Formats: sequence, C-alpha cells, structure tokens
Amino acid sequence: MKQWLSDLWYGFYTVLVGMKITWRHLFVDKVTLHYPEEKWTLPPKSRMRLFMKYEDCIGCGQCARACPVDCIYIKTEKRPPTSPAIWAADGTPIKLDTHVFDIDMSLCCYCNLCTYPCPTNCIYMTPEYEFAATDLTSHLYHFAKPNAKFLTVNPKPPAPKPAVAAGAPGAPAPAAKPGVPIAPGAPTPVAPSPGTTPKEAPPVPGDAANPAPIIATGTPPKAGGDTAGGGDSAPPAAVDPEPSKA
Amino acid sequence: MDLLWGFLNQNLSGFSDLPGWLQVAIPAAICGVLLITFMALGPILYVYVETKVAGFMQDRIGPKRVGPHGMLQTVADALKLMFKEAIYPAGADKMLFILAPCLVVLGAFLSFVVIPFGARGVTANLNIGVFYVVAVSSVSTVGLIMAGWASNNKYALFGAMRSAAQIVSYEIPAVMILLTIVMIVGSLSLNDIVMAQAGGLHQWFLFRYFPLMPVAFLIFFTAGLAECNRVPFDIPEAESELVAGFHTEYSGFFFAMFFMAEYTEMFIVSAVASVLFLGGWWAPLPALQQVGPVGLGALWLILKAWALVFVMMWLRWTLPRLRVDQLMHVAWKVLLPIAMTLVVVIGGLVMWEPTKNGFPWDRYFGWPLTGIVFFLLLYWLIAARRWSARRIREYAA
Repeated sequence: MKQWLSDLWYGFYTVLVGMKITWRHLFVDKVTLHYPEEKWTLPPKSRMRLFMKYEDCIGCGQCARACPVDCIYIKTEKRPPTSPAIWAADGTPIKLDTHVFDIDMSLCCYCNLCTYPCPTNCIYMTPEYEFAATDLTSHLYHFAKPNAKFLTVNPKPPAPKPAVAAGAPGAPAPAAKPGVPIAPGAPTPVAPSPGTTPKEAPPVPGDAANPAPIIATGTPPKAGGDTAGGGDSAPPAAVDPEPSKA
Repeated sequence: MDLLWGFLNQNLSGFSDLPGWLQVAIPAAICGVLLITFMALGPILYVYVETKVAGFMQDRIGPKRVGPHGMLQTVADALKLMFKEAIYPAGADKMLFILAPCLVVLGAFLSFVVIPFGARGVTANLNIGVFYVVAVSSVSTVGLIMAGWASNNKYALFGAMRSAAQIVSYEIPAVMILLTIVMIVGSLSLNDIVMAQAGGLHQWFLFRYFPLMPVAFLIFFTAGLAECNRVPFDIPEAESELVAGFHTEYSGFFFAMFFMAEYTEMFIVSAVASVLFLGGWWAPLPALQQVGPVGLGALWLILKAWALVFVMMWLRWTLPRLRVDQLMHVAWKVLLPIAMTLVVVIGGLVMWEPTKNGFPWDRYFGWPLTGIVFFLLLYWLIAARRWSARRIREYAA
C-alpha cells in the first residue's frame, strides 16, 4: 500500500514536472530559421560547391588523382614552346594548356581532399550551397575558359641567381621553380598525336596508376595571343567513360 | 431548442399555427445546422492550435506559410482531404468500411445534443443527460472496431482491439466519477448539474469536498483522455507501433472524418468535464455572467472546454505513450480503486446532513487554489523568458 501510494505520487509528480518543462518552452524564443528569407551565414571553411580559378591552374591533375569519387576531369596538352610564357598567381609557370577542367558536383562527396594537393591553391570549396538543379547534367561545371587572361609576367620573379646556388636556404620554394622555366619546358619535342601520352614533369608519378585524368588531345593549341587554352574544349560526353573505367 | 422554440413562437407570426411536428422539426433543424457547423469547423481550429502548440513546445513556430501565421493551413489540409480519392483495400468489407467512420463521427456528434451552453441553450435537455453521454460516446468504440475489422489489415485490427480494451477499461472509472456528481446533485440532467454549481468559483464541484473532488476531477480527466485516444493513451493508433492503428487503411474524406471525430471528442470530453466540475456555463464571478442583456454562458463553457483541450494538447507534447500493460495497470489498479473509494466516501458525506453540500472549509479553497495555479503558470512563463534570454546571451558569447 505504501509502495502503491508512493508510485502514485511519483507518477503524478513527474507528469507535473514534464508539464512545467513544456509550458516553459511555449514561451521560449523559437529557433526556427525562415530559410528562403533568412539564411544562416556559413562558417568560412564550410565545404560546399567547389570552385576552380582557371587562370591559376597549372594542369598538374593532382586534384583529379586525389579525388576519391573521380569527379574531376582534366584534359591537358603540353604548351608549345612558341607560345608566350604564362604564370600562375603564385609564380608557378604554367607549362600545360588545360583544355578541359570539368567538375561533376553531382558526384562530389565534399571531402575537400582535392584542395590540399593543389600546388597553386587554385581549387577550393566555397560556402555557396544553393545550386540545386532539376537536371543532373547541370551539375557538371566547366571551368576551362577559352579566353582566359593569364599572367604573362612572372608575379614573383626568381631570386637573383648569381648570389647562391639552387639549394640555398634564402631562396623561397616557389621562386626556385621559375628559375627553370621555359627553355627546358619542352626538352623532347613530341608531336601531339592522338595515340601518344606525352609524359610531363609534374604529373608523371601517378600516371601509370591512374592515367585517366591527363591525356593529350589531338587538337594543336593555338599559338597566337596570350590565350592559352585550346579554342574547343571537349564535350563532357567524351570525358565520361573515363571514370567508369577507373 | 427550447430557447429557439420560444423565440420563434414569439417573433415569427404564424409559427404557432404550423402543424405540431413542424413546430418541433424546424427548431431542431436549426439547432442541428448550428451544432454541426460548430462541430465541423471546430476541428479545423483545434488542429491548427494543436500544430501551433506542438511547434511552440518544441521551440519551433509551426505552420506559417498558408495565410497569416499559417491560419489557413488546416483549411487547406481539410480541402485536400476532401478531394482525395478514397481507397478501399483489397478484401475489405466495403459497406462496413464506409460505415465505420460515419459511426465514429456520429458517436462524437451525438453527445453535443445534451451539452448545455446556457440555462435554456441546450438542444435536448434530457433528464438522463449524463447517462446519454456515456451511452452515446460508446457508439464510436463500435465504429473503431468496425474500422479495424473491415480494413482487412492486421495493424488496423490490432488498433481496434486495443481501443476496445482501452475504452471499456477507462469507461468504468469515468462513470464512477460521474456517479459521485450525480449523488451530490441528485439528478442525471446536465443542466441540473450546472445549476447546482451556481454562485461563483468556490461553488464549482472541483472545489467541493476539498481533497476529494480535485482527485475525482483528475481521474475523470485522465479517463476522458483515454476515451478519446489521446496521448499518453493513444495506443489504438500508436503510430510507431501500428502504422496508424484503426485508421491505417483510410484515406481522403474518411480519414478526415476520423480526424474530425477525434477532435470533436476532445472537445466533448472537455465540455462534459467543465459541466461536471468547472461550473458549466457559469462565470467564475457572478458579475461576469452577462454583459447587459447578453448572456455569456456559452462563451464561458466554450472557454473552459478550450482550456481543457489545451491541457490535452499540452499533455500530448509532454508525455510518452504508455505500454498496453501499463495502460491496464493505470485503469484497473489505480484509477478504479480511487474512484470506487470516492463513490463510497462522497456517498456517505452526501447522506450526512452537515456535509451535504461539501465540507465547511470548502469556501477557503476555490480562490487560493485557482490563484496558485495561475501564479505557477505565470512564474514558469517568466522563468522561460529569463531562461531564453540567458540562452541567447550564452549562444552569442
């Protein structure tokens, strides 16, 4: 009987405690965000839509190799020695013409792994998240611009050479590279032909393992002007079979 | 109907010359139209309030898009349900399948007939009003079982069986409590019960026999909650166990009818509870009973009933669902013994001359108790505002 009474009181009391809590929450400020009207400002490092600054890309393809879902498609071609020298914003010489740089955001898993290996920090994630589309193919972003304006002067000229040799501690790392730029860029002049894949200095190591991202196109790049990219970027359909193979 | 008949008789020339059956039928039809409108439109309001209360209690804002503050949301929902196709499951008994929601709604609506909205503002002042309410509210149980059986669905049948077990169990304590009131008043008529509580808040049955009647009220309210299948007694439609219980297979307008019946029944249970314990259409102060010539009786009854409906919603978003065995435990081992004790004790007290109308100290409890309840609600409100402000400050820091 005593137990029964204490159970009864306990049940009644706990109901009151619960009711007190819910009553209090009736008058608490609401946390709802009226989404289309109000937007939450995302933290600056949030991983949303990828962006690639084409003018800074050296076409090394490390992002494509790092991508776990193979959603970055790159087609590059060696830049002919006759065309003017161009540099990325951090002083890295661009020795490959990137004809195709496509990112399929419908495949992207937002892991951010592609941004770490990029030597010029040209690929990064933006806080932009409103890019829903009714058509899946509209999530395939083409970043290669045929009329991109590249830097034709080295923004970070190399340190004066005669003072110290290449391995000196005073010379900054990016500045050391442009010391070797244009002339040895094409030591073995291979005529671009459809079947061959000319191995270029930066992308070599991974090529045997994953040859998909970097292949040479048969279209000879236009030498004139400071436009680097080939006029015609290959349609996405031509790129699609590659990740399925890999 | 009495009131309406008198009104028509005085103000409509030639009304008394009509044949006798028309003199009854016309006021009855008008009453019916009024009540059915009230009953059919009520659930739209209750569902809106329910969604809003649910939202607020979960720190959300509830419906907002359709109409100002989302007020037309339930209207839109109701219209949508009306135009939706009614799907009949394969193997269902089609006639029973259609009849079931009608019976459920009928059971809910029939109780309205005896609820007094004023001294004469009652559709049918039955001298067995209390008995009628108990009898008619069981009709909807038949409808629930019918729905479960006709659906040809195991979950629906489970729900129906559970609802049968539950309503049979909870009807008993509820009727026991009704019995105590009937013993005090000496009449089964709901209007007589209201008249016996005249004279202000301290005369309400809730505050009579001080420690006893509040307990009786709690038992009645709990049993009423169980009878309209509300949380925490919603095991007949437990959506996480049985898809939706007895109305799993219903769609479109039939589903809307179940919904309507549920919310109407909530109002009826609340209205009956306020008639029995909260003085029905009496105002808490006699001075508030009417403004000039306009009586506010109906308003007071509806306000009290709505307050209780709000408590039901409040409970719904507070408590988890009981298990079936816990449900039976509460009904048979907790509510019923207390209710039977109350019947015996109050019966004895009514028989004894000095305590015929309550204990001598009853008059000191009505106002203080009401005051304490309001003070607590207000205090919690202020505490909530403070808590909210503190939380925002902490979040900003």
